[in-house]
Amino acid sequence: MRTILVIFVSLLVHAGFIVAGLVYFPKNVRQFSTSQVVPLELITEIAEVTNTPEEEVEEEPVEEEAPPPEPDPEPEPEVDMSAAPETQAAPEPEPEPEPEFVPDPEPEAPAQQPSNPAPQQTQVPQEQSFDDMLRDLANSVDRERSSSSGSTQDASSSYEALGVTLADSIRSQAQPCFRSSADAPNPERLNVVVRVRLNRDGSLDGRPDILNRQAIDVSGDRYLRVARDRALAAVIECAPYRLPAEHFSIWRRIDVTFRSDG
Amino acid sequence: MTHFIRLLSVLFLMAVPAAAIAQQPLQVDISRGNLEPTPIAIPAFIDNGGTNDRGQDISEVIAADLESSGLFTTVDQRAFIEDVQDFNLRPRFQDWRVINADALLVGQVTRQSDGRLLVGFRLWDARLEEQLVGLQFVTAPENWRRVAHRVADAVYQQLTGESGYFDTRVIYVSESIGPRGEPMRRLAVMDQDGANPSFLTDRSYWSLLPNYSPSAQQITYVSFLDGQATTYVYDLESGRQEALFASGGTGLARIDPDGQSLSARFSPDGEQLAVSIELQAGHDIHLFDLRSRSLRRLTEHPADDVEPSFSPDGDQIVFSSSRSGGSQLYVMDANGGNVQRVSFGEGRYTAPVWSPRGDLIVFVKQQSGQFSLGVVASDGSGEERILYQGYYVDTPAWSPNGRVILFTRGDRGREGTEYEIWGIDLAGFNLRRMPINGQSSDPAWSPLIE
Repeated sequence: MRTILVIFVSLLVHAGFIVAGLVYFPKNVRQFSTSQVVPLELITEIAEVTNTPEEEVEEEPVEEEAPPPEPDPEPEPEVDMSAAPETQAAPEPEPEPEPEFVPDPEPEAPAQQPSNPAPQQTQVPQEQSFDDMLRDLANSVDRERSSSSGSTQDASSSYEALGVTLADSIRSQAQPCFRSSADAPNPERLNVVVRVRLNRDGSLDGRPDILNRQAIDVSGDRYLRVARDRALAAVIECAPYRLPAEHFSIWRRIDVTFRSDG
Repeated sequence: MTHFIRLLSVLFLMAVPAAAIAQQPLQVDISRGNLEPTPIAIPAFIDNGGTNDRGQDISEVIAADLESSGLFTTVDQRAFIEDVQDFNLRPRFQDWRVINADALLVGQVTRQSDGRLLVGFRLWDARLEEQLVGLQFVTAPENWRRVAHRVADAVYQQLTGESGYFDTRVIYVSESIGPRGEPMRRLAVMDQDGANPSFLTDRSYWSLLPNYSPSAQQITYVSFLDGQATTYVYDLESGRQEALFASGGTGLARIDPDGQSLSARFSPDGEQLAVSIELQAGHDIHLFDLRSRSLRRLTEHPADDVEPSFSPDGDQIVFSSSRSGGSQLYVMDANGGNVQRVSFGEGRYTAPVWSPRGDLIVFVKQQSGQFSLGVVASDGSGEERILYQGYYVDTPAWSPNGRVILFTRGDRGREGTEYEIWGIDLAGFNLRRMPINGQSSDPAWSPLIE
């Protein structure tokens, strides 16, 4: 009986420490996932430098049944070359996607978070008040955390509020890069959900995933395919994101739902 | 010991909800994207020799097509950093992102041993660093413009989701003054970008109101030969023409002096024509079966029912009618049943044409001395949307993808009203004059050419 109790307690304590670790030491967890991404990039590089046989373009076009009397000869039926070339300009190994390019370097707001060097896209006055808000919220959450009398309920509601504020910030940063499909027929169906993983500096940790990719592929809907590409391009183009590093555990993973009915 | 266990349990229970929140991905909703044109870089297609510098020509036609849609802007070639020399290498995407090109189109032209041109292209997404589509075409050298249009169509479709409309032609009425000062109206045809114009009918008689068949091989039009309006079917490939029905002919009494009522439109399967004919009293919508040559009456109303146009599925027909007093738009089943009014505003509604997408009907509205071009939902729901207002508007025609509308626009000139063909997109943007010399009217847009 006593042994069972000890095992139970041991399990409980272990689980507790693991969960607490995930909350309080997210940096370690992130580093683990980063190291998983690097080999992927290397694989791409290896493939690019390798001089694969010429390329996969089908070079045998269908012959034209040239109808001589026709005044306006038809172009050939197209030959699909959807396979991207894998060959790479051999001489200069390309420096890998170092810092993401940011389109228009807007005037920077006074740096509130020194840990985030990324150019920001939102306007200065709004940003300041937003940062104040964020700091207040963060303080309140920290108080909840450190105070032994703080209840779990309060902590979670503050977390929610902080989440909403962070979500607002991400939205305002990613929105300018998103090309809407609002001019497509029935745009309300064109929803795309992108899972974004970020590094502590706000840069992308690996390529974002489309969570409803399968549904999009199965639908065969060309507008939906375009909406997917536009959503993915938006999160890539607007990275890195300027977010408070102390709340990294909250924005480490983001699910962005792009809609075109707005 | 027990105290310690309790403490740990409490700590654990407290940690779980907070941890759960922290581990859930943060949810962000973005619904307000921009509708800016997509910037695309189009370097001159790589010329592999012997093509008379077609590489630059082809890229220019593609760029003009894409820009004319209003959905793309092309990046100035002088800003290019990477000089793409090998069609089969991955571009340096960073070089293209730096000059704000979201997409990059690279292509090459090769003269084959049989003298024909091999034109290949790859469309890259500079942000996703992916090839989106790659195709190649073989064609006679003189046909290079069509290949360029086909490439533009592929790019347009890949980046917007819609079918393109660049490899199409437009038939219209060319209006001019004859040697004795008499007005002349002849049918002419050109590529949608204005290239390769030519006349289809001669100057000895008036030709009006052309409409394409779904196969783009035939047109209907109304001619005034010997002062009598007659509907013709004109086979564009063979040049053969056939008169179908005439005013004052067998059993057909009167028609409008401008021949409007005899303007026939093909059903989507190409086997029938919808036309308005006056048999006894007032005009009614009829179906003319092109195989059996039989005429079937669809509407019977003392008021005039005119200007029929099929829905793209062929199940319904929209027409204008004065049955409620002023001219309004009505939709009925293709067998003549279930007539529903779909326009309810003030003014005269005329010239309805069903969109190829099926959801909209374009119309011309005349109210207090002003003309408008507008669209309304084909089921009559929602408000009508006015796209253009002006001195005179008539004969709208849809692009095959339902995104652009061509129409006859009249403006006051030195010698009375002058007519030109203009285009506008469904959002009411990108109003553009079609590049036609002289006055023109009555556009008909071909389907995509197979």
